Amino acid sequence: MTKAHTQRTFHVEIDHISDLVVKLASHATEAVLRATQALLDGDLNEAQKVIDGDDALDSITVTIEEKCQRLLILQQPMAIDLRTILSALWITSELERTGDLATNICKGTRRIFGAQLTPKLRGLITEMSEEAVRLTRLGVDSFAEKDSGLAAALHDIDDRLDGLHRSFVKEIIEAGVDSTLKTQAAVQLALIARYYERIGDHAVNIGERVFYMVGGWAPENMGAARERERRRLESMSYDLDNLSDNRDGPDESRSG
Amino acid sequence: MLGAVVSIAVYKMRIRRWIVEHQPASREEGSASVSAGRQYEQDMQRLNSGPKSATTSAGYSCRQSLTSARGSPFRYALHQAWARTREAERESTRLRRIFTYLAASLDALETGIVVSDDRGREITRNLAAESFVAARHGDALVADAITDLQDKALNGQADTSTVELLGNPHRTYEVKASPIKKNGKTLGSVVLVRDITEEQRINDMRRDFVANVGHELKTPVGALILLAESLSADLEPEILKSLIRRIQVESERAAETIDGLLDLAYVETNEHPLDEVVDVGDVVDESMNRVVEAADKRGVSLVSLTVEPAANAGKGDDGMVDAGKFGSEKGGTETASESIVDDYRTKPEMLVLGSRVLLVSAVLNLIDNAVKFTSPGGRVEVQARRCQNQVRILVRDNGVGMAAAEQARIFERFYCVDRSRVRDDNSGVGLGLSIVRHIVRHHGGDVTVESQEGRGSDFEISLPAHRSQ
Repeated sequence: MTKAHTQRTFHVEIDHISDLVVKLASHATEAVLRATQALLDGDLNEAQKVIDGDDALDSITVTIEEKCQRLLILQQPMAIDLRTILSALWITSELERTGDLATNICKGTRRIFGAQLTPKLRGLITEMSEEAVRLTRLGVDSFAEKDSGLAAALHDIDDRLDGLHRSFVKEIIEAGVDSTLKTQAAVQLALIARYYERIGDHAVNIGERVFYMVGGWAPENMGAARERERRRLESMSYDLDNLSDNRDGPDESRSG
Repeated sequence: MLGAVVSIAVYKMRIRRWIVEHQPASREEGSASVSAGRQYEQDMQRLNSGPKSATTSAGYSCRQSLTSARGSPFRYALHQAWARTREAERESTRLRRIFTYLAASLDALETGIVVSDDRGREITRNLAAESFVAARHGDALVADAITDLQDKALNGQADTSTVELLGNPHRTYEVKASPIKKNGKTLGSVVLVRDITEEQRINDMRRDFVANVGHELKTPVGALILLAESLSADLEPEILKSLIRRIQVESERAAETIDGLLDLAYVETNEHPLDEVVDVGDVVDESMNRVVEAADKRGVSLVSLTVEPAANAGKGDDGMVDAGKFGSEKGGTETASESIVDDYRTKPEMLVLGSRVLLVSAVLNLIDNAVKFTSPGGRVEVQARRCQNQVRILVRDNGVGMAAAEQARIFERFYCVDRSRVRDDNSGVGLGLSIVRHIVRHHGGDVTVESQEGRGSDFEISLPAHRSQ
């Protein structure tokens, strides 16, 4: 087997991993949409199907992880190849969590079974679901196209989902005040809204990983650099203090 | 070295000259060589396989064939090769032509087709199936189903799977795989991918129509039967009166359903003459006049907003006439005469060609629906405007709104949004919007809806504007 052949196989493997990540994302986003439909229709059968379907997501996750580990061990990739594999591992974990959150929405659906949602709440749930799915799809698009610009923009796009989340919580409180919603249902709905908001956050995380994959620079690096700078300044000021203390000491003794 | 090069060049020239000299002079000569060649082949076969008595004559015939091919066996072989090449070229061209037609025919199909060999390697896929290559999001799930079923087909098992993709737009695909078999051996697989969204929608529509019309007729008729049974008993006059009132109400309900069906049948089957120049302002005016009382009673403010093209208005970026101003807004539950803005009436820009009665019926239905689905204290706006070659009537409310799935089905006959969310029992039988759509399409226009649950709905009628001679 020639070196060129090995490299070709290696890149085919990486492409295969990318395809699996896209597939996982499709399953995860579809699970979120199905969970929302089950929630709005109060359809427990559909909710159970989504919960059962989470196993398929776990199975794809395990496959991706195994393939990534195999490549890391056997090929010892470098530069963009290494970053792609690491990013695929991180993104897989984010998508798997998105699937879990869809499952949580279904479990919430079971808990609030029979509760009448106001049209406004239903509308906000639909909007949050669509926005969360849109963000996740954009994140996966940025991964598949290696588009760091789109990846960086996800953080700003997420603001809309956060705004919807706030409106939803406000609406729940108002519905609670009007006694149109029982406390237990209100608490569950608040949690469900939180799940949607978290799905958006996971999409932002995917964007950050793509940004790292393309440029080798993650947003955490910025924080880490700031922390290093802060520590450096602190140690400098400590040295300066010590220096001034040392200078002040003899002066005082002199003046004394 | 130089000598070798020179001798190679000389030989090359000789060979070239020999080929030129020995080429058939004409097509006839070429075909004569071919037929002579065929005769030679047959003779050789006779020599090899025939009985001994036949070999002498076959040998003689064989020599004759060689002679007819100008005597030289080498020259004959050359001609034969040339003829075979020509034949192969012709066959190749024919096959290429068939393949081009087949590929174009497959591409013209709406059904996606993926053919693979016995090892699962793809042989071909048509244009409709191309969209599932390197697919993302929902399409990736279809691609996944194709791969799964392909594997099953290669194991000799035909299977079908339905992939339903939620979201906007909602789509449903049917993926069907079958093994390709010859002499009991699996040569490969063929997978068909069909978008059955529309098919499923029509099925749902038909099923719901039958269920809804049955329900709408059965409810009052069932009540009438029970009430009639009660009447047969010896009852007090007061109870009797109450029962008769109920019979009246239920009869009216049944009559309303039947009237609705007949109205729809009437507008669908009769070709109404569309030769009347109708002022959309008048249509809106009349429709609002009829609903204002119901709106007052319900505590919904009925507001007329008018966008009229300004005298010096230019074209906006979107190609629409720039709004000159928002017409005077008169909210609240004031009388209809106050809520109508006179500015847009009798304007030539707001004229359409059609049937005034039908148009009033359409706009009235929309406004009536908007009032019914808006909570007390809510607001319904009606806006008429000219937009390029169209006159548009927008009915906007801030009522309960609809989910995307309901918007797609709202114009179906007997389709009602989730009844648990309608605050009024008198929500109609679900024929109003079917009638609206039919009337508007009959006028060459269209009606669209945009809605969001909890935020309200926008229904807009677009009609082609009348061009005065």
